[in-house]
Amino acid sequence: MREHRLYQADWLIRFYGFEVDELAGAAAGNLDLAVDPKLAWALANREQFPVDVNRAGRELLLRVPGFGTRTVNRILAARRSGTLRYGDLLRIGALMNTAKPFVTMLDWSPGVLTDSDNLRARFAAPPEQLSLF
Amino acid sequence: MYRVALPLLGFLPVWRDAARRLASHEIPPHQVAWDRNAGHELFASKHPPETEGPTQVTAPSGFLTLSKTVLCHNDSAAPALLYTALHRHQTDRRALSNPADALSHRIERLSKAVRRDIHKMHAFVRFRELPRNGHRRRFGAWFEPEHHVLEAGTPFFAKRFADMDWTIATPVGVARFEDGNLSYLAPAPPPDLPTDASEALWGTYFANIFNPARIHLQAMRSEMPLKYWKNLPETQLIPEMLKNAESRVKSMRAALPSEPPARASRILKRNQASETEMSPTNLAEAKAQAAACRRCDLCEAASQTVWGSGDSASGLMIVGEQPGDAEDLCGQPFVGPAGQLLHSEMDEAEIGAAWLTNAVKHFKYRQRGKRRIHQAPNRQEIVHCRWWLDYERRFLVPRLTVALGASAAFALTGDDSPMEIRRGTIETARDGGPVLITWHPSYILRLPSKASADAREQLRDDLVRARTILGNQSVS
Repeated sequence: MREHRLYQADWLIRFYGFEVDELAGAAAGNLDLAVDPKLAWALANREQFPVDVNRAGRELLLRVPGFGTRTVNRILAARRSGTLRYGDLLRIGALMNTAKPFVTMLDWSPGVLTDSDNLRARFAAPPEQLSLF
Repeated sequence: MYRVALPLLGFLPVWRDAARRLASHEIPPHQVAWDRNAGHELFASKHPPETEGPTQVTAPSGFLTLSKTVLCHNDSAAPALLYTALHRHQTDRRALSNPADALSHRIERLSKAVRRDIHKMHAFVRFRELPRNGHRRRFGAWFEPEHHVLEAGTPFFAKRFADMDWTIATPVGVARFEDGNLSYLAPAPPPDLPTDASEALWGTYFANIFNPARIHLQAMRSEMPLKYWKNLPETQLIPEMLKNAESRVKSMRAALPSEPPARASRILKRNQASETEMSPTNLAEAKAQAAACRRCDLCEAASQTVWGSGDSASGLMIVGEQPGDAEDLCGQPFVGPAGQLLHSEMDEAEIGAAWLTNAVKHFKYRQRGKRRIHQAPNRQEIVHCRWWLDYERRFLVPRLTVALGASAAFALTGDDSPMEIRRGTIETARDGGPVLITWHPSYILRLPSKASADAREQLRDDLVRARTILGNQSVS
């Protein structure tokens, strides 16, 4: 899992415009094992969200968890034809279950979801009761 | 209402011409019915216009390729969807390239399904050999694709099997390849293909590459969808293989070797011995502990530790570089070719008995075929092995040490400067004793004959000098 997180962080630095300090700073020098580095960064920097999908620039869209580079390219292409709605993002292939709390558009607003206390618990794997014997 | 009938084979040019003419007359999509199985007519309909209309029709680049795949789809709405897209493109140039658009999204999904079906056709057409009637081999196959991919999928086979004649029959048409010409014929009932001898061989191979311990039913079904199973010979074996998989895994587990290999006990013993290493108090103890030495990696490949041997009371210690192939096998220092040269020079110099040892106690080599080629020890290995050399010197207390070659000189004095200027001089060892530096006998063996004779003479002179020094010491 640590190796996977390192690869994810590597990708974020190479293709998503992240800096090493941003990723490592989120959890005192170590990458979060329960959630991926991009989500961990978004959870730690919630003041930057929600992002307006119809107005935000490429750099900001790339920082939304659930949006990959291909999704962002498609969003930018689709914006030339008109305003995007929630269903459009699903068709484009965005992972809306992940992105939902971090984006806003005409027919969707996350409301208090972005700042809710249990947001991390929505993504992290549920705790497991270990065997006592 | 306009009605266009599409044939089962060669539907692309028919659709293209009709779509172009309809679009040039600006006829909206809901007024056109595309009919694949020309038959029942619910509403009164008319044929599309025969001539081009006033509007110039354009299509985006790649649209024709897209239509070629999408038209293969068995969804009866596919031609109408494509015409809708074309019609919309005349007024909205961005609609087709918009990834969020519902229509482009649906067309892209149809295209993907067809591309997958073509790919599966390339994988799952099973040919059977037919009796030949010319010089070319003949094959026949029956295949039931999900979509109308016969025309789109067969050019691959024409390229791949260009030197054979073959026929692929499907429910919607037959592709025939004869003497390099590919033709498409009207559908025919499934041909009666003869059994193929290689099919049994293929079945045996398929059953043998099946790994019962790695069953992933979902992956198996997505790689080889059930809809293709009925025409694949190997699929008859799959239920049986799945049924037996569990018992086969059990028997594989039972057949696993439970006893460790013979070498394991020796390695374990050696590892345990090295853990109990302590400071030795005499030479025999040091020798026993060195036999289990794991201070560097050389012990892994070498057969055994080659400890020094000879007269421990003579006061003379001769240190070489490291054991060679012969020494490694018999466990004694200086028994190989270089050792023989050293012994003959020692006899010439009338030096008598001495304690012979090496700076590094394990053989380091590179395997080349059956031969083990000597490799010089590196600095780290010499430093690690100096532990044992220091103990040897502490227990023997030699009055004079002869260092043969650069490795021995470095181990004894800690100085690795070149040998040419140092040869024949007496230096001080790290523990204070005198060290006479000279050539290593294997260096003499490697030199060309003229230089070799000179170096051999120098070695003999140095040994004579060592005898003289020892003699003087014993007199005084």
